[in-house]
Amino acid sequence: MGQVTGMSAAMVESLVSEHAVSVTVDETLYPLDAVYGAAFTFIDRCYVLLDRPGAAQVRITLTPKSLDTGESALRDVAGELENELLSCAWRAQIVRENRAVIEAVTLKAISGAMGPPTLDELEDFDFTEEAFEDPLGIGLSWEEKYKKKGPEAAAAPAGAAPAAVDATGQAGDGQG
Amino acid sequence: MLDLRLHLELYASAAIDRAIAVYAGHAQIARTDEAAHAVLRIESPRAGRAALVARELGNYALGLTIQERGDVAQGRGGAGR
Repeated sequence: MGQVTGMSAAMVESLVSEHAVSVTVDETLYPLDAVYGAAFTFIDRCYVLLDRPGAAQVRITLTPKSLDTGESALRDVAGELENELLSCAWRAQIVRENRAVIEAVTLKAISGAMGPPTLDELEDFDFTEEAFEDPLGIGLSWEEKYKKKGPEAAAAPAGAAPAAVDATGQAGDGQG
Repeated sequence: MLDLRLHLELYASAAIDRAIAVYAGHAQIARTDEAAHAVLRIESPRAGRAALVARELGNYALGLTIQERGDVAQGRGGAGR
């Protein structure tokens, strides 16, 4: 029996016995969901047994179903399990961090699939919200933005838009 | 004769019972609960059968436990299974 892991024993500890490998993990680093997820990926080729050797610790014992498993193969299994644990823990963290976004997107998709609002819903809708501020006039159409405003604008050369007047006050050709 | 100890924080009690029911035809299985473990005493007249049943039963109970947790997480619940 020998320790095979390169990680700190406080985090992950692997022991290879004659025909089984045990990996003990700290539950504060690897949540139980990650342990279950990692253990489940081995259930088709190994006999998996979970136990709790101490508080906030989980020991995963894998016994390969094939009998001709040498020590190097057991070391590979231990390494695979540790990789899988890390992957599952990382995925669990991503899901936890993005839960609000996922829920918002899902809610939006479901509400969109529910179809257009009814007349009653439109009647109840609050339209009192003020329009957004647009100091640069980004939301205006070209016609609204450059329409002739008075006799001064009418005196300008044809095709020259007010916006084409440069900083010196000279009218440009309207293309630059 | 062989004792299989399954920690009750890691294995759902209902999953253990269901696994026992599935493998009861292959060996004689008796369950007793200690403080934190369910202890399954597995006996079979055939050589090696008890160990094989213990390992398969452990896998089955773990699979059911994980499935049950997934169902709970997705709001389907584990009742009736």
